[in-house]
Amino acid sequence: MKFLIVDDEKDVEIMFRQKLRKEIRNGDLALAFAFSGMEALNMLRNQTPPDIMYIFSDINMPGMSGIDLLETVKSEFPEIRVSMISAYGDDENYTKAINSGANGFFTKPIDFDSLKKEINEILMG
Amino acid sequence: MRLLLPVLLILCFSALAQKSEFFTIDSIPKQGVLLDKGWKYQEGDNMQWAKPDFNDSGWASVDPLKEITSYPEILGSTVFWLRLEVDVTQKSPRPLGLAINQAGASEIYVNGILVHEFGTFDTDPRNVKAYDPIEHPIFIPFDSAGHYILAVRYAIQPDLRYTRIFAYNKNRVFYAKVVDLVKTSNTDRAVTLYKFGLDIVTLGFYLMLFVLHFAYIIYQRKNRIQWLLTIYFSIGACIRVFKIIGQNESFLAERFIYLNLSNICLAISAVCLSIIIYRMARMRFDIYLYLVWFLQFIYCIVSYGTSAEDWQTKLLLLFNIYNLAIVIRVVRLGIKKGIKGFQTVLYGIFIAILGLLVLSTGFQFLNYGHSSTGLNELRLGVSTYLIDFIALIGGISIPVGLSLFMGIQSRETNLALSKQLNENEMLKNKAIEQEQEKQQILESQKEMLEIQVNERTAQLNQSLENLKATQNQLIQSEKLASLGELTAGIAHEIQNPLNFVNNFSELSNELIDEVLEERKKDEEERDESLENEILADLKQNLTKIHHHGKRASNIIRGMLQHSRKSSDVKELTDINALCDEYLRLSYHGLRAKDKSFNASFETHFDPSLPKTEVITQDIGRVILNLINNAFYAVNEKRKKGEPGYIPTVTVSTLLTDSKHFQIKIQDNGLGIPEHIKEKIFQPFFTTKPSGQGTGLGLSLAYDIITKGHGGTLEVNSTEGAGADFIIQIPI
Repeated sequence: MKFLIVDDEKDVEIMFRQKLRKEIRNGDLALAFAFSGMEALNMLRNQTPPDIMYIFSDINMPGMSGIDLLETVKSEFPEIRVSMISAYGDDENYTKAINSGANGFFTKPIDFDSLKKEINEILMG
Repeated sequence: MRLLLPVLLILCFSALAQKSEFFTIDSIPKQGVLLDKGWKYQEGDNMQWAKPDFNDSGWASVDPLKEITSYPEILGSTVFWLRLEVDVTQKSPRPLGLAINQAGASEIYVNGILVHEFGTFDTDPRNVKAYDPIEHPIFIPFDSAGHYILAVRYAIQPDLRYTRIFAYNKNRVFYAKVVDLVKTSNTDRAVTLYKFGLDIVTLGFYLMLFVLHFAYIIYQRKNRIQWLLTIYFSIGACIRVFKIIGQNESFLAERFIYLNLSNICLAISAVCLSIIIYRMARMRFDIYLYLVWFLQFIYCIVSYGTSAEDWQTKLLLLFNIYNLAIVIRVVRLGIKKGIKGFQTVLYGIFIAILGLLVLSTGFQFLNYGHSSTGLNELRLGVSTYLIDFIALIGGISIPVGLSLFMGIQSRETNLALSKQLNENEMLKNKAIEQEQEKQQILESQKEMLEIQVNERTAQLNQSLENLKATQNQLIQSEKLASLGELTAGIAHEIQNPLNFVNNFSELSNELIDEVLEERKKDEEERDESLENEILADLKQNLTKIHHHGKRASNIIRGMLQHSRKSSDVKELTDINALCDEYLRLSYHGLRAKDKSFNASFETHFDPSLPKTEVITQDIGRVILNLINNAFYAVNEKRKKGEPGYIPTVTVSTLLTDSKHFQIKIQDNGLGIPEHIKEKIFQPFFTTKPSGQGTGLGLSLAYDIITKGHGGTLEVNSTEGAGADFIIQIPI
């Protein structure tokens, strides 16, 4: 199962790869990283059907925001699930995300335990 | 007394001898013996008639004392003779003379001998010149007793208009008086002198007045009355001149001319006087005045050549009374009008009338008179002097009255003038006073104004100070506002590094646990590659932690610097890093403020740009401001909802040459309209809705770049397409 992480901070990739080292080693999952909404969409569109099942996206990104990405993905690739990660955990963002079809909402600093739980759930089925 | 008895006797004899037609002279009384009877007359001319022995019994009697105009036959003749027989009874101790008045030219024969000739006697009437000796006595050879025949050969000057006006005497045919030659001559001389003197006095008076008023004219050309008075007095003088000449002229033709001239002058002067009176009374000429002139004209004509007196004189008297009445009427009107001094004219007239009355009374009753009884009858006595004096006064009273009036008028004018002058003086003083008052008021007003101005200036200064303080406050608040904007961005900016610090530290802890786990295992089961991998990761993590920690503290430091007051110290600064940092700050700040905000940004930093000496904080503020504006512009354009519009802000740096570097902030936003471009750097100018922008950002930026760093800040823009802000700073 391939997961796509979208965040403009490059160090996020290092963190994720370290945190999910075991799972990656085990081959339970694969990770892809995009550093902007456009890059993410390009990745998705390059492959038909795309092998990415799940997207974790930051909201505050220059260019296309996370919400925009969410809406675009939901319209183009409705089977792909999207969860938001954001520093702003306010109601407005949350509501907007959920209403636009987000699966989950995670605030920064990232609580990897709950994130792992989410991923395991997805992997299980 | 010695003579008395013989005289009486002779008179008796004479009375008895009345019948015989001759004149008897016994003695000469003081007043002389008037040869008033016994005259015989014969028209024609014969030298024999002078002879004493000629028989004149056939001749007609005649009274030669009558006026010649009462004998038309005499007037009509050319030559005639008069004869008188005179009987002198006694030898006269003193020489005798004959005082004659006559109206023609004559030759006097005594006993056939020509004794005297008067005038120019000629048988040809054209050459005859009538002559009147005016009773100046001539010598008559009657000294011894005896019979004398007095013969007068008489020639008439033809066409002679005999006139009595002003004449001393009537124009008698032959009026002769036997007188004491010497005494009478003396008396005659005295009287002539006296009369002449009187006349001269009057004439002199008129001349004087004439000169006086003429002098006035020279200085007062405009005064019409003075002109009239001058003319009046000159005519008055003429009257007298002609009268004097005429009365003393023996040749009758000339005498009559002068007397008539005098008369005409008199008429003219009467007209003059009437005009003067009217003018003085400021009355318009009316019908009465014209009647006066008419009457005077009639008078001239009527009196010309009058010898008979009565009805003309009465007429003249009527005329004069009428004239007088008119004059008095006008004068009274003038007085009523309130013309000052007119009374003097009235008094003058009254005195003149008085004088005239006295004169005529004197004529009638006091036996005063030069004319009717003959010159030699005149007694130069007190009464004469008195009457003459009164007459003189009467004669000059009108001129005096007129002159006095003029004097009073002049005084009135002077008074009025000086009153006017005083008024003018007063007005002038008043004007000066008012001027001074005005000046004072102006002065005090000026003072007041100055005080007010000073107050205002002080107030304005105070306001200025307040404004400066406010401006400083605004700048501070601008800083704080931009600081506020930063806060959210900064919070986010710090959040990220801190997240990493946390996460990486947490990760590193887990990694160490993993290693420890692995080390607990037996040697064969330990995965050395895994441990190496983990160690490598640990090192990386710590580097990352350090990096993000530094990042956070940089951000904090930047924030602190930003809030601190500006310093003038230039520090070596990495411009690229500065731009990058503030770009991110701006972006995240705007995102925090406005959830809908989204834009892309690009950076093109010149790697060859070295660290440069700038006031870091100020340049940072400038960059931040420009980037904020750029994001605002693209966001506004994005809100318009153009499809396919990607809002982009680009920040680039460039080392243009060894002396300068450039920072460019581009956006593809709304752009700046032409007419706004010149205003954007003005303080307090903003296009943002009120309350959203202080309008100080660009003006502060401009000052920092140009004044603080000696650089330039320019803008290029196309409305609707975007804008570029270019900072150029010398190194």
